[in-house]
Amino acid sequence: MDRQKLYIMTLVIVFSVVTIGLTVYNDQKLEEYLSLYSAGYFIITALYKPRKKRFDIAGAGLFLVLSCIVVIKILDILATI
Amino acid sequence: VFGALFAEYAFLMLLSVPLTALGISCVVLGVTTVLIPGSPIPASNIRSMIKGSCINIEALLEEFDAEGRGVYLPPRDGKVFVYVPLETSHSLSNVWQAMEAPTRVVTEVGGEPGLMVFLPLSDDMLSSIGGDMKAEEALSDILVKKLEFLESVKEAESGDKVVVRMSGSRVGTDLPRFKKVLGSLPTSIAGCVLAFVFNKPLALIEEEASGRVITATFEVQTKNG
Repeated sequence: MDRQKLYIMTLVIVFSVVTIGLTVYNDQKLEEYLSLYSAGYFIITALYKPRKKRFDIAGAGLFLVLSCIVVIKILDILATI
Repeated sequence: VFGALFAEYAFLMLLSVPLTALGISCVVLGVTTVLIPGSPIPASNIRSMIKGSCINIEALLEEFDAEGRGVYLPPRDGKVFVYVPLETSHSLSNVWQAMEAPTRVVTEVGGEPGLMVFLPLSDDMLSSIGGDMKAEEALSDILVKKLEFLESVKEAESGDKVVVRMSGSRVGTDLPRFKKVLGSLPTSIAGCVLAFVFNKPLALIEEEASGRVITATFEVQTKNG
């Protein structure tokens, strides 16, 4: 199996594990799913370094979502102080 | 698309966080799959390798001082090759005899010396051309989709003439003898593809290049021609 297919397969496995794991854990926070998807995506992308046809929209989207979650959490913490 | 709709439905109607997350993960996977190119080797690398391998052909043609235009022969054992007569006053009736000649670089057809040139187009690539594919489809599949030599290709047939108009060429060959005998690189690949599709020999009659547009005219050889 070539590198590109292996990369996609690994992403599918990681996303499935995250979804099933957090569902079994009965987690109802969407940001936790998204944070773990982002972490998994960036780690696997860094490991496989796949060649992409153009700008990585999925990565940019996940990074933006992750940044928003982090900013909201920081503001939450600051508000409680 | 499915992932986006599913995530929206799960979030607004089902009020289910895990299903919404599942939909989002489908979107991410879908976008990633679309962004990953089909071929693991970049087409630009394939183009460079093919261009590089043409230097050997140029050296061979120079060595034998080949002047005559090449004739693209139909496949033999899945391989397409080009018969290059060394005598400029060669007869095209020799072309059908060339198909029977032993497959070696230096050959003699009908008493006239000639070369058999193997172009850098693998038989795997040619065998990917489906039996029901038309010439234009096959040219587009090889030259535009697989090799990315061109942006588009059009083919027209009139009698025994085949005109191929290749637009947006991404390869330029600065190999004068190669160009003179076999045409530019896209033209020579087009000749191989047409010989494979028509299963008949084709002679390159003329080639005109204007900017990034190349127009090549081939003549399909018939047994009495």
